[in-house]
Amino acid sequence: MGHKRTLLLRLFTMLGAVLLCYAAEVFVCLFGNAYQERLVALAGLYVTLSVSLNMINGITGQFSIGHAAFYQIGAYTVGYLSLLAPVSMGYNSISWLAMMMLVAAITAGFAGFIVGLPSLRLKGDYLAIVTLGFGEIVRILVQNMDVVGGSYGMNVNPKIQHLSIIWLLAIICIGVFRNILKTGKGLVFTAVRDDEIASASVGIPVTKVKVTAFVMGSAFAGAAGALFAHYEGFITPGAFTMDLSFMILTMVMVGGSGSITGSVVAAISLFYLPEWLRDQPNITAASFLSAIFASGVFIFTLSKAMDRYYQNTFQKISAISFAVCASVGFKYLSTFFLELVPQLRDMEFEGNQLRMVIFAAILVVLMLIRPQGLLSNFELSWKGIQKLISKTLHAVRRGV
Amino acid sequence: MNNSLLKVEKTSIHFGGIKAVQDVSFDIKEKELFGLIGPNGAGKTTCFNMITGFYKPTHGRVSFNGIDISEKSMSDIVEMGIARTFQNIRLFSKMTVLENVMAAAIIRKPIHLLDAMLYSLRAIEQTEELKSRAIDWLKVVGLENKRHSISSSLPYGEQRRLEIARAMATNPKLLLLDEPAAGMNPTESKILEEVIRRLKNDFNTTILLIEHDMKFVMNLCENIVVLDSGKKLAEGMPEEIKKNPKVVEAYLGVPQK
Ligand SMILES: Nc1ncnc2c1ncn2[C@@H]1O[C@H](COP(=O)(O)OP(=O)(O)OP(=O)(O)O)[C@@H](O)[C@H]1O
Ligand SMILES: [Mg+2]
Repeated sequence: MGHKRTLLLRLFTMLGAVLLCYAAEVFVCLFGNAYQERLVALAGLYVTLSVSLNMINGITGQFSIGHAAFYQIGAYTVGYLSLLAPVSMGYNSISWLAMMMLVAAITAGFAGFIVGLPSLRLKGDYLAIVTLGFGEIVRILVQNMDVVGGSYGMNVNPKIQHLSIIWLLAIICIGVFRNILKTGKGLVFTAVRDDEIASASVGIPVTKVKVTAFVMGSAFAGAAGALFAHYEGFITPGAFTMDLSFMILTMVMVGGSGSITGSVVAAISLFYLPEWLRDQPNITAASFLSAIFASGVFIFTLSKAMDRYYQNTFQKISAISFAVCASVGFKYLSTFFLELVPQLRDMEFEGNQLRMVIFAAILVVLMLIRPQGLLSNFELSWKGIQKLISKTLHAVRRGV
Repeated sequence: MNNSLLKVEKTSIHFGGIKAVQDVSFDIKEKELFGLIGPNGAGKTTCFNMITGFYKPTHGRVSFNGIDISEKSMSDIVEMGIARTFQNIRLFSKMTVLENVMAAAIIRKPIHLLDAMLYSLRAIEQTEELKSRAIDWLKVVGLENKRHSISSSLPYGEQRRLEIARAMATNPKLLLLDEPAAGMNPTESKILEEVIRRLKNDFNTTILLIEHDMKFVMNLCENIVVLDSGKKLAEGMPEEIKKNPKVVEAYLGVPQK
């Protein structure tokens, strides 16, 4: 019943995805400058990284904090191969990229297997320690390998800059994990996250499931690394520090571990946020301080209001608006009073320096008011959208 | 019908200095309803943990269908046909009732990872089949109407029945129930009794259960083993156990006149 239709629909979806990515590339290249182009490319890589980490941390409930290591392994695998096979052996750029992605995915996946097999057997936080250590070991090892340029880095030839391939990888990554979760197979992973002992009691091979998730996640990170290496044409160990691992981890947490949609949203917005904040005007110490006070007021009033009015969406929205009004009001009030102090009024912070402070503050506020992440475990789906539309239509009709 | 399904032979389990189980042996025959009773800390749950492979016996061996399972992993033992419930309920608390049972049924109807990744037609069909199997089990325990509720939101008695459905979804030959009636009101435990009888009669399941509710055990079980401080105190039919002076002294207490 409708099998042909399903297959046809799927074919169209895939074609659509390819076309969309290509159109996006053409659009960005026509209307954007090199800087914007690079941002779009990196955002795509971050989406792949955070979604693949979410498979390990969010969906299977492990705690890996060295995801950059697999990204680096992918990148350097490709870098090393480009030394062996200069000018891509006559292949055209897209098939070469596809091959490199595959090789990088296999290498990183294998590394994931080697690291995961012993450490995933252990309970709790051991995995965190092992992956953190592994990330540093890989980076320092590469730093001391002269074949790949040591800490100076290396050129990766040829430089292939296809935005569409980068985003296609992100879409494939999202698609693969969404597919798994849509079938009964996905329950095996969420069961392990919920309760390992109960999982074992119904015959789920817990270690195997964890290792599988870990290998899949590492493999996608490796493929992303391959694209990164070819996109930049130059890689150094400095691009794969612990900071990157923590950034990816933050994306997963902020998006809501367990929600793939959340990882995508958080990856894009957290990646762009520091860029948007780049052109900040200089601000005075007074308004900076008052902004800090105001965010305190915001958190306080919101949590108080939410305690009392949590019944329905309308009440929630009113609670949030109340908190916003209260904090904005407080901001102006405190700015006014603080500016009475001449030192605070005259001292200025440079906007660009404040950018990371603001970024961090936003993260802190987010985690305080929504510890389960932006989307907690919500997933965007056609069915959900259809339901929403029909609900709205229903409401509108009843209103009329 | 008279061949033994589970054979526990002279098993002991030591936790450092604590001897939780000492030299315990019993034999469960196919299609039997077998009771394991005894005071708190007697080692009943530890016996379950040993049979299901969570602990390895320090001495002795456990065999199932004639095969030694004392060194096998938990998932292998489930695969062979032993399932259990827990004294302190362990559901997949964030999943729905249906998903809980589906996650267990999957070991009898594995979906290939590659099929799942591609969302192939086969994976879709297998998922549907998994769903219908799970619903069948939910019907047996009377929870099919609650299939979309989150499992932790169910009342206590229903959570216990859901745990039984989940265990049954692995198609066990032997089902271990750890205090299934604990905390239930009389109506709930009546329903449970019916469910357990059905599992035995309609699905040919052999059942080993731990229970403190003596009426429940005496009603249901055909054979009983009594443990006390890790040692086997007595074994026999409910009538014999009730009269056994050692059991009365250690556990049941003097019957009221
Ligand atoms: N992992 C462990 N480490 C140390 N001691 C343990 C462990 N598990 C159980 N024990 C001890 O073994 C003894 C038997 O415990 P067990 O849980 O089997 O009792 P039980 O018969 O199920 O009692 P109850 O009726 O209270 O459930 C207890 O003294 C307990 O403290
Ligand atoms: Mg017990």
